[in-house]
Amino acid sequence: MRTDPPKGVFPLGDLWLWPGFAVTRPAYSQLIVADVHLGKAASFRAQGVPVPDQVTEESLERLSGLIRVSRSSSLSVLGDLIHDRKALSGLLPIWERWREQHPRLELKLIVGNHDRKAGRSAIEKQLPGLQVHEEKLLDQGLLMAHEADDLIDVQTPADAPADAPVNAPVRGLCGHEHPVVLIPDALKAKHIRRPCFYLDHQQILHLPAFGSFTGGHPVSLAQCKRLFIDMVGAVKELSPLALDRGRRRYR
Amino acid sequence: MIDLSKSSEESFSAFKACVDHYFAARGWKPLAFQRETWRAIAQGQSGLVHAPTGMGKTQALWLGACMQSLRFHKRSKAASTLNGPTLLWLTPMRALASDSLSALREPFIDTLWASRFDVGMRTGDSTSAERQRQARRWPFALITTPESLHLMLSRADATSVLGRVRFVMVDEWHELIGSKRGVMLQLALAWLRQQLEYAPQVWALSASLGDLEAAASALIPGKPRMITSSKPKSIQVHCLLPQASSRLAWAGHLGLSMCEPLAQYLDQSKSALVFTNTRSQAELWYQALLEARPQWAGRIALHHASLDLSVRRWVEQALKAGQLSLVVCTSSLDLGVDFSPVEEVIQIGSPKGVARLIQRAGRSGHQPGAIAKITIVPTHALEVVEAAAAAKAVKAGELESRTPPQRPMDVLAQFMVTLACGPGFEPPQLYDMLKQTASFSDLTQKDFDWALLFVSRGGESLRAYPDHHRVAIGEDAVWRVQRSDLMRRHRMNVGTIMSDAAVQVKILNGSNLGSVEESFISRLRRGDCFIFSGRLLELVRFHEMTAYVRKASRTKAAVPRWNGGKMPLSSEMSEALAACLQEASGSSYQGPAMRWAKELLQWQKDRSSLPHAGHLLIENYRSREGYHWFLYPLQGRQVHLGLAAILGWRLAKARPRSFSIAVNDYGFEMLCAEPIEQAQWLDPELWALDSLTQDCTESFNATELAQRRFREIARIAGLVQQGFPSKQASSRQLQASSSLFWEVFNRYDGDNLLLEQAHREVLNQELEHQRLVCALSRIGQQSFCWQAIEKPSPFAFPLMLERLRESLSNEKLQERLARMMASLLE
Repeated sequence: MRTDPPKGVFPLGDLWLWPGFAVTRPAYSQLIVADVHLGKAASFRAQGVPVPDQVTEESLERLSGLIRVSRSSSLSVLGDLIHDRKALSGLLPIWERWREQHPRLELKLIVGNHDRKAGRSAIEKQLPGLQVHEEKLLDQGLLMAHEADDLIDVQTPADAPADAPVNAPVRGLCGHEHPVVLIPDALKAKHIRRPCFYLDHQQILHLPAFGSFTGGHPVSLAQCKRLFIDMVGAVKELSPLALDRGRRRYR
Repeated sequence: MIDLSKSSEESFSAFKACVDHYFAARGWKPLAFQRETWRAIAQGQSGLVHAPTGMGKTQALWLGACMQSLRFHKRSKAASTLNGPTLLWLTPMRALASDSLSALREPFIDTLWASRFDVGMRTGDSTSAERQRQARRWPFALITTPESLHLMLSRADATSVLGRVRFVMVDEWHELIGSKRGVMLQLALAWLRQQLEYAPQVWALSASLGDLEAAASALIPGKPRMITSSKPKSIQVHCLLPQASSRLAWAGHLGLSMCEPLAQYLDQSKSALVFTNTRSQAELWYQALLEARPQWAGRIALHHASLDLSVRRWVEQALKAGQLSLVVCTSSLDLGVDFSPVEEVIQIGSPKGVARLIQRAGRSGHQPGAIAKITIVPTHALEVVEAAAAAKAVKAGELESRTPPQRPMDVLAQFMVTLACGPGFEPPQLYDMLKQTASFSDLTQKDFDWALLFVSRGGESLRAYPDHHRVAIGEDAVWRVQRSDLMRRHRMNVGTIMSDAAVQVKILNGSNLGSVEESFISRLRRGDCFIFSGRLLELVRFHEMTAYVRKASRTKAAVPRWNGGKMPLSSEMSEALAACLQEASGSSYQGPAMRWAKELLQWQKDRSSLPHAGHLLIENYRSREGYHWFLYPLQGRQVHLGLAAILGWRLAKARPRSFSIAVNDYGFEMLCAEPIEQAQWLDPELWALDSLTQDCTESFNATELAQRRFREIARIAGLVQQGFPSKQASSRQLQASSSLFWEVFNRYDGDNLLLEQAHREVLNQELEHQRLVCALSRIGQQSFCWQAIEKPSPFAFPLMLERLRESLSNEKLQERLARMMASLLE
């Protein structure tokens, strides 16, 4: 377990936000990512659209890197691990090779919309060693779901572990949206699009998509209470107000 | 002369009598060029007919081909067992197809020939019932578009359906030649030539085009016959000048302050066409003219390509019938369509090109020999000078020439899949065939093999995937697409026109108004207003690719901002402009337009100096934003963009910098956070011609131009699917933006020729490499005129206001983000 965040990592309560689109909970040696979309390239190829396959392997390699550097013993995926059923078919050998690298890693998946379409039983069969959870999960006092909507009415139950920080700034985690922000340039040049984390007004932290071959949706600043941008090699906080002001100023 | 049997001799003279009657009934006589065309077709030749609109090109080719078909009807009995059209009439726009239909039918109305030479139409607008009817019995002549022709090629029966084609007529070839649609046509023709027993006679029709020979040989191999009408229409170009007291704005493109003067000008006219350069401008001017002259309601209409077909058709008919006296339109009325002439043709804003100006002017005085007249309405002050330059350029008579795109691999990939969906292809024959076309004459075997790999295995550097095979080789050595779902999807995506998904605009419980781009509608919220189809509309809801609207009463309005529209100044026009300014710098102001502009140009002289052909003016200016440099090579926006990219790249070689660049047709602005020494600007190395291409290409790694270009390429090559409303749900899993492909290919498949093509297109089309070379070598001979200015000059001002900017940066992404972040936190 690491005690202080490495360079570039942004500490938010007991969570660390990592550049490269991941969250860890050092207290529990837990790595959390969302929207990996494994095998998206393969499902494109099955439809006759050529996409290089290295995309899926690269996503898994980046996961391995994060597991190593954060010294995590478990990985939770907040949904959309798999792109679709077609993606699943060729995945087994790649997955098994990857599992061999992390034999003791505990693996949890909260089913996302893409996983559901691919079929829960198919995922369990094709990706052995994965604990699959429906909709939402309370994991060591932290709520996790694929879509924020599933967490709206959920109160953090009283039986939260005693060591869970009181008034933690983050009540739950979710993915699904693939949030990105458009950062304006003072030089009146074209904006830059970067994946981001954001905390909404219900204290839910939204994670950027982890997968390489996935697009993004610009977040609406009105929904953001706090905003954390992946700045290549470092996560930095930027207040939504400053961003909004900048957009007006440099438009 | 061909030996005719007696019976065909008889029918031949009967046909001639019919043609004579047709001409006589209208009081016409066949013109010399028409008779020349008939003779040339009779001799079995192919070629190009060049004559101004309204001179009768259509009948020259159509009647010639009918006559010729009577000759060989007898000869080839074998061919008549095939069912298929004999003549293909290619039209660049589906909107024109129905006009061509009536033009081709006209000579034979109420004659026995109407059924012998029947005409059908097959475009994207044709219903499936029509298509099936055609398949049972094909008409003699089929009017179609390049896209529909390729769709016919993607059918298994292509060889038999097209096996009887003897003539291919390409209408308005100048519209197609420079585009990828023109390449589609080249490919289809090459295929026909290879398949058919007799090579078809191919004729191009064109008005207003420079370098005719090159245009003809892009379509016709060998020595095409050139036929030109002897009487060029004489053209008068005027400029509607604002009164001296009401000054025109220095910048902008709407020019609504000229609305009242234009309304006054049009008060006396019986019929007029008002051309604008963009659709949104057309909407605004229509509104403004109606407000200025409410009594015109009912006699004034709007016409642009986004309006519903029925609306457009109605406007065209009403204009022909003389029910309308004024139509505000875009290039949608540039082409074909033989209107009875209008009295006045108005051009809002600069026409930017000589050919376009002449084409539009041709809409007036639409009879052989009449004088064509066009009036330019300037939208900002400098456009008065541009209008003067346009008049000068028309007088000089140098027209822009267009060249076909070279080696577009995306079109090739699409064509390979098209053939593979239909009759299939064998690579050696296909390669030979491609080498015969203008666009692929320099295609190497290696590049061809790459394209083959791309459509079969997904590309060279991909490993052999069992799961990817769009096109596969069969046992008979023919390459085909095997899966019907892939065929269906490919057919839906045939074509090279890039458009944002179109959203229908519909009045609640009412009629269709037309369509707008999805990107525009998705920016609106419920209750927002916008002007469309000449009305102020309020968005009620947006559901399944239909925007439901109601008439709005509010005054606040958002105007549709459609894509495109910014044409660069052609080199012929820039020459004329530079010459006009040079005269002005010598205090010679010729013509009313230049005399009007004198005050403004004098202002420029006082604050700085006048840019002209003799020197390169560089202004520098310091503001809160940073250091501005304004350079005025007067070469058109695209060349300026190229120059800025190269200069920026070379200036930033020593150390990383970021520039923001604004361009217009007169010059460009480079804005930088730190100062740059004057000596650095004047260094001859900066302007050197050597390593130009390399610097261009490298500088683009820093710009996003190539990536933008790649959007279209990815679409054409079949990577990105065009959105289809009905198919949306099922194809959603396949949605990925071209930027994702761009990223992935760059990372894992760097040798992908589609990436290379994106860079090449930027170099040749976007930055006009040839013109760039000329511009740099000209600057090499010019002196520099260095002016430090206290206030922006009249020429600098529009550039400072330009919102659409390019960024050029060789800072690392990280550094650039850090700088941007810092400025946000200030």
